[in-house]
Amino acid sequence: MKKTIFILSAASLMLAACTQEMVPQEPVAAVPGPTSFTASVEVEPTPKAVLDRNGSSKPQTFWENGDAISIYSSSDTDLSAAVGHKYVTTLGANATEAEFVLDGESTALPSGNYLATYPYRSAARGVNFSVSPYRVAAVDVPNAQTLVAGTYDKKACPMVAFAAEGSSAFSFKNAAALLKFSVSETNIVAGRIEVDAADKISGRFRADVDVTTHIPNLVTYTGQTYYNYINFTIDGSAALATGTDYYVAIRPTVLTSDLKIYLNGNLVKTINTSKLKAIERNQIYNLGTLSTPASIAEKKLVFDFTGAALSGWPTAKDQMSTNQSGGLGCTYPLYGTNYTFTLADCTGADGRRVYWSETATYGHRIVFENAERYVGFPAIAGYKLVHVQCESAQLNAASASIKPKMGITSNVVASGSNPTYVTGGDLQEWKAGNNHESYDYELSGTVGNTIYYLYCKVKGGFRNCTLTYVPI
Amino acid sequence: MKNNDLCLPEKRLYQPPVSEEFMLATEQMLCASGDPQGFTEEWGEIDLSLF
Repeated sequence: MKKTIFILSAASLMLAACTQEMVPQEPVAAVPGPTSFTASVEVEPTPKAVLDRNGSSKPQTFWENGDAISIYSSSDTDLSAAVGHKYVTTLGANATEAEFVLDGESTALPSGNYLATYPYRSAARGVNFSVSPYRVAAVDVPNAQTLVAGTYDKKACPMVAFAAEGSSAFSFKNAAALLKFSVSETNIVAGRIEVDAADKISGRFRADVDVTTHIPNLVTYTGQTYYNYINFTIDGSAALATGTDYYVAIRPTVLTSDLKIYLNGNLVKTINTSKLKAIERNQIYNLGTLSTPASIAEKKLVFDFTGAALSGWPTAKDQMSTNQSGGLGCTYPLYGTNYTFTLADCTGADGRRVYWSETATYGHRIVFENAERYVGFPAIAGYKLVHVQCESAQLNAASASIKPKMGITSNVVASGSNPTYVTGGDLQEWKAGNNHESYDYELSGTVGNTIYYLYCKVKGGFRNCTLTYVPI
Repeated sequence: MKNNDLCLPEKRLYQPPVSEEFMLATEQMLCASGDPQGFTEEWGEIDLSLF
């Protein structure tokens, strides 16, 4: 009934507001009658979620009240670093089409050709209308995503639109793809999607927008950081609801390796490249219901240090009282298990300089304030460490140009001596700066239930580490 | 900018087909000086649940 009132109201407004510049209307006979409209209201009484079925029963993204977009005009000055014009929608109910109004804080949009992005980006970004395809810099598919029950995090899944001068209709096209799944267990709190290191499925991309079809293609470009994985959790650290669909946004790309899905650190599904050769834009890939197998072929544990330090961890230098021999054991609980990290200095060190630090500029992370320090990774009974991936973080402002050197060793040695590097764990020079780059060490010759160390030859830091273990 | 809600009356009264051709045609509609209208895209679906 409410819908009928709206239609009548809209029709009245049309009669009052039509002007000479309006697009000619279709004959009345082409418009469905009010009876069918009332019926559609009766079968769709519930509010639309962010991702829902449209009138054709196809999944479609729905705008929400308050959604904001960035619009760039080819007449904007300095498009190499442009702050988009912010437009915001006001909606009573989620809808697949929405009108956007210039935000009061934003400058007027000059006439020209337009590119638009969702989500809104407050930072200055490069946009180029002078090339084919058009280019929109800094379009993000995050490598850490927060899941939303029954729908998806729209802000993790960018959309791009083009409109020619004189048009105000922006047909947003999905730049990413979605992976859809549900879980059968009640204790799943986190997971991970991973492909081979050569395949970049998350990070900061450039959207190349075809000048004819206006379809965006996410490409890598110089100076950005890319990842071969996406970690996900659910808002509030609760467990995922069983029997509920969840979605992870992923960059479209050709795959050179299997796609692996982990839940609570355990490998639960592998999709071979013969079944999934490429991830295509604007597709939802249904992975089905995921369950932990009885025999776990691989554990991939993500230890995140970007939050506040856990109890028992040193948070400043010289808090490691027993570091000289054996190191300091620090507990990190994950998925119901307490894992022990071992922080250690070289024998004879002049200070105890490994700790879980926080600064306003660099956030929380583990720092090696001096060289020749170690972080021992957890030993797990029945499993051996076969892969280490660390995401770098800057030590401090003074070390902005310092390139850390890190390797994986099987022991802790005296200052000035060389530790024993694990095969595949040789020193790697990390990039200088706070760039959060990932570094991989593919290890062989390791044994079960044994500590291996991240050894710092040149000082630096890291903000998370992902450790892969396989059964012995 | 004026409110041009009514520039696309046929879209207000029924769900249009959301084909690629339609999306392109929509982009080409002229509603001079109107506030931007944002339209979203229909997703495709691929079932990998059996693999």
